[in-house]
Amino acid sequence: MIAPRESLSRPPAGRRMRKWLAPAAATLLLLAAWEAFVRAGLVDSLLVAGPGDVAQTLIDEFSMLARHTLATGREALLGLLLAFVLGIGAGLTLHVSPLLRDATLPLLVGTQAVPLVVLAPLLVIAFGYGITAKLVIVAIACFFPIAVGTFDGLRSCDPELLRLMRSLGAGRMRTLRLVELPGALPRVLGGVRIAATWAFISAVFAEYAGSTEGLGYLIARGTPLLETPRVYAAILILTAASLALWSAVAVVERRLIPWERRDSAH
Amino acid sequence: MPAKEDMQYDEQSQTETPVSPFGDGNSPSAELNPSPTAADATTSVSVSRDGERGAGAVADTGTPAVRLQDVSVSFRTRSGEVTALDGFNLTIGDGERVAIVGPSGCGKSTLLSLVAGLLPPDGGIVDVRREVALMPQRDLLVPWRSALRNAALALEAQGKPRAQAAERARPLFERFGLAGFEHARTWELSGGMRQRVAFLRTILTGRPLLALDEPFGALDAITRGEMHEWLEQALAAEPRTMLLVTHDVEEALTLAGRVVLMTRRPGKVAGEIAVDRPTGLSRAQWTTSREFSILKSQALAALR
Repeated sequence: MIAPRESLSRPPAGRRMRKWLAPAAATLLLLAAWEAFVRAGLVDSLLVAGPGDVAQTLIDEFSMLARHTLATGREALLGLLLAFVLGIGAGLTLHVSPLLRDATLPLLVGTQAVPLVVLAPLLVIAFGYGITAKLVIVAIACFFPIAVGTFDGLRSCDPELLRLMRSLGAGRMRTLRLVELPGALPRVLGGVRIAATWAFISAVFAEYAGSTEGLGYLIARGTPLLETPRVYAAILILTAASLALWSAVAVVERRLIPWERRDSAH
Repeated sequence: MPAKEDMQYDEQSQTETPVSPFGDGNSPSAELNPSPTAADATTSVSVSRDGERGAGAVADTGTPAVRLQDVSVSFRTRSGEVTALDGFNLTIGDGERVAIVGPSGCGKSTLLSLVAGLLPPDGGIVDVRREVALMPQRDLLVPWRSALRNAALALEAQGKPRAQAAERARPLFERFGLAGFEHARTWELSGGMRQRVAFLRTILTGRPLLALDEPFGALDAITRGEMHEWLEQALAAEPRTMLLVTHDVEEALTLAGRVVLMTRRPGKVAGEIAVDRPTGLSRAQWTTSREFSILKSQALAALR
């Protein structure tokens, strides 16, 4: 007796529902408890905002929040793009040239060893309050996983496949283009996924160090002013944006490297 | 071990030696010369590049596609030096199909690397006069390419544009039982299908000498039998000189006209069997014939 393919490849409808329903229910329950806690007057509503207040703020201040979200989004995405270009370039360089690898690897690791907390204000002093400093900070935070992913991915190429390419008469560059680069794609995208989680966090961080707009600016300014609902709303938007970016990378991964998903499913 | 200066490594392309790459079909045209004289070995440097490439040598139908003479190869490993091949001799004529059979670790894969020009010998002469298409043990299909474009990789590696390479590969898919699988993803293909694609990739190089490294070793016995039949048909349609390395005596006796038996490390020739398979005999008829089992027991006795 052979089981139908459908039942092997995906869980039954009930299980799938539970996968969504259970966490949703848990979240709602938590929010309800929080709201009840605040409404009961157990804490000062000036210090802790309830979900209701946050929702109200999201609606009332939509256009203002949207403007700051766009500012942060621009910094995060452009910074990630910069990190992507630099990371791939660095990974390729490290792979192709052993001399440059030896010369620059300590420097690259060094950029990660210096704590961004102390670096960020210095970069703002150097580059000013504009977007440049933000892009540099986001790029520093995001470029490393991409560079490491690219380098590892290129290095992970099957030596027998390289031998085959050599026997087929392919030179260094052609082997890189036909075999090593596409083979590195899963690890490159893995690096991008990690970098994506850092993009928004580091953009907010850069805004903390000095800015005139953005969600980080809102949070940094709002916290001492006890604008708690607004700060909570900004944090909520940040979390959602980070998750959305992560999901977008995951979708790209599924599209570009369908074979990887199969391997991990087995 | 001979000094480094004695090492002679020479590979010449097909275009440099204007001889029909397919020779005269199935009949072996070259004589085997298993024991080179000492004089041959000492004059090795001058022999291969200038001496044999002249018009006289080309006119001689006995000019072998491959000549290995007194070849030795050793590797340095953590546990000391391992001699993979020692005083190894082999000659393959144009159009000949030769199988090398031996136990694991007899230097079979080393032998293929030598012939494919991926490894220089430590001593002796490696004279390969035909361009070599290597088919490795594993199919090495890449998952980001469709079946068709995996086969076409052979041409793209040589610099052919992508579309042109795919167009050259397409007719072969139809001729060799892969029609309809052009766009299949590699993970949708069975083991046998994957090997067929890998073989087409090898054929598409357009090179006259096939070097097959245990191509069907990973397949189950039934699929392997099917692949033997398929390969015979493929080679009938696209005749090539073949050097097949395998540990399967039956495979060797089915696919090759001559079977060279090798000893365990260091690899040396233990014996040789000429396979006179009557024409018109199917694979099933041949592998169950009396002659086949006699040859098989001879081979197994020599390997022991």
